[in-house]
Amino acid sequence: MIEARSLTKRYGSTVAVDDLSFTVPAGAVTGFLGPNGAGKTTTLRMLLGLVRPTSGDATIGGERYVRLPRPAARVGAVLEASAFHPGRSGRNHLRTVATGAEIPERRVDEVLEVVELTAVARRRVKTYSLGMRQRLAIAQALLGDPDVLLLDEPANGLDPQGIRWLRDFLRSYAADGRTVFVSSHVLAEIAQTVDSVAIINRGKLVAHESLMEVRARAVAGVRVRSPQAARLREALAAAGIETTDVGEGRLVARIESSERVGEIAAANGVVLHELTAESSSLEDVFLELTGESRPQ
Amino acid sequence: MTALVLAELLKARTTRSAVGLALGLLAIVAFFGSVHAATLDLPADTHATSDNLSSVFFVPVFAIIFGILASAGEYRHGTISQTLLVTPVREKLVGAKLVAAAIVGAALWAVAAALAVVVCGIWFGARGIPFDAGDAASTLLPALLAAALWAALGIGLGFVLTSQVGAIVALFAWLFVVESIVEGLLPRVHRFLPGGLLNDVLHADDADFSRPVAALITLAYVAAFAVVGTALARRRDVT
Repeated sequence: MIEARSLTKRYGSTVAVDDLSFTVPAGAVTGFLGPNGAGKTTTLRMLLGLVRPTSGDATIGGERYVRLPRPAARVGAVLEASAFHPGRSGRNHLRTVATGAEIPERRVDEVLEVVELTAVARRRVKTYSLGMRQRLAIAQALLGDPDVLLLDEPANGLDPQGIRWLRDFLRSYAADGRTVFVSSHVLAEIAQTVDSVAIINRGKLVAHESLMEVRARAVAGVRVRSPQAARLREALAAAGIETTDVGEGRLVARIESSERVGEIAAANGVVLHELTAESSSLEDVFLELTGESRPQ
Repeated sequence: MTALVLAELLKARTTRSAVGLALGLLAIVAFFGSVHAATLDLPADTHATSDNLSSVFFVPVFAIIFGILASAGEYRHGTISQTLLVTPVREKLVGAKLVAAAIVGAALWAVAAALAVVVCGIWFGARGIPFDAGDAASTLLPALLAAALWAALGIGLGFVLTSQVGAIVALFAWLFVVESIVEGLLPRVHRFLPGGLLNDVLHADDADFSRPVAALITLAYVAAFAVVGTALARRRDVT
């Protein structure tokens, strides 16, 4: 289990992570979502002891990362843009990690097999594609057969087959009762993988709930454009339909039926220039939660 | 701790940097020994063997560059993140790197000394000059001590500065500019500086300090850089 308690990180006057508290349970895949720059990477690096929190505390299995006796055997981490020495082969990179972490060397070939890098294992990393580097990073995370996996944007650079493989892999990993915490800035990318999500924006937690609850927020709506938007809004309100004014004479009515909106407009003599039924997606919910509205 | 030292030695063996440094060193040793032996004016030279082998005095400089590559190189390539995930306790990491660098420094010395002796033996044999083993040891062994110390000094320097190029530039600017000026103006201060001490470790004849004292003061520099480097590594965010 991963626990963050009032984690805060300030860089000068900029607050990158602001009083963030959450727990990540074992036996499930938890997503860590937020737009770019929301503080995801900083948070993950604080969990891993790479960035010192300004205040607050982060523990994995009840211990701070730096105090874990054999961290590589407890926690596997895939960092964003994982860096390797360009002149070292993928296999030798894993051997250096295995040697330092006292992991038997046969695990190196096992994990290379798991991520399907065996064929290029002896080539120098500088010849690897982004996807191959990402798989090497995943191989490294798996070396110690850890109970906890932390992955920062692991889908970056992976091809669709790779993403699918990763999704299935993470699901089965969590199904074994282990903890998986995976960050992304695209909800759709991990919606099929995660059981629940912690969503952050500007360093603050804006939601931490099951994916079912997030889906429940995804209500349908009807988009209308009218020169008499204000009047239409009143008429819809009188009929008990909530609306959002998105500017320039456009409203979004929180109702599924475009017929009903059209009838109400006609009954009130409101001219409509546009009437479109829209189903709000998970992505809309995410954008709404993070306060980043879609470009109109 | 042994595992961490072995991991650091494996890192040294699995890139081309250490091999490249060794090859550069060997080229200098072969060139220097050959030129010296070919141009040697025999009766005037009472320490022909040790003079011929004195190119091993380059080993400490190559050793400190290795130390810088092994520490600042981790920041340069971003591998410091992964390294700290395996060894989050900075003291342990710096300690393992110090030991491993001293071993690599000794290994650089071993290949350089071996080639120097071979080159010297071939030339002296051809010219009929006797090879004085005792004289050879008086040059070779101090270079081993200096190589191990300076490799470890490079680790601390790399952790303090974290910029690989910056550390190497700073090193040469220090040795060839700062120390030269201090040596000219304040010779009493210069003898306490790393370059001055290196001279005392390598040459017993024109030394300010005896070899053990010079080595101990150098060790104090190694410890100081390592402690400051570790403290900075603890405070520094790795992003």
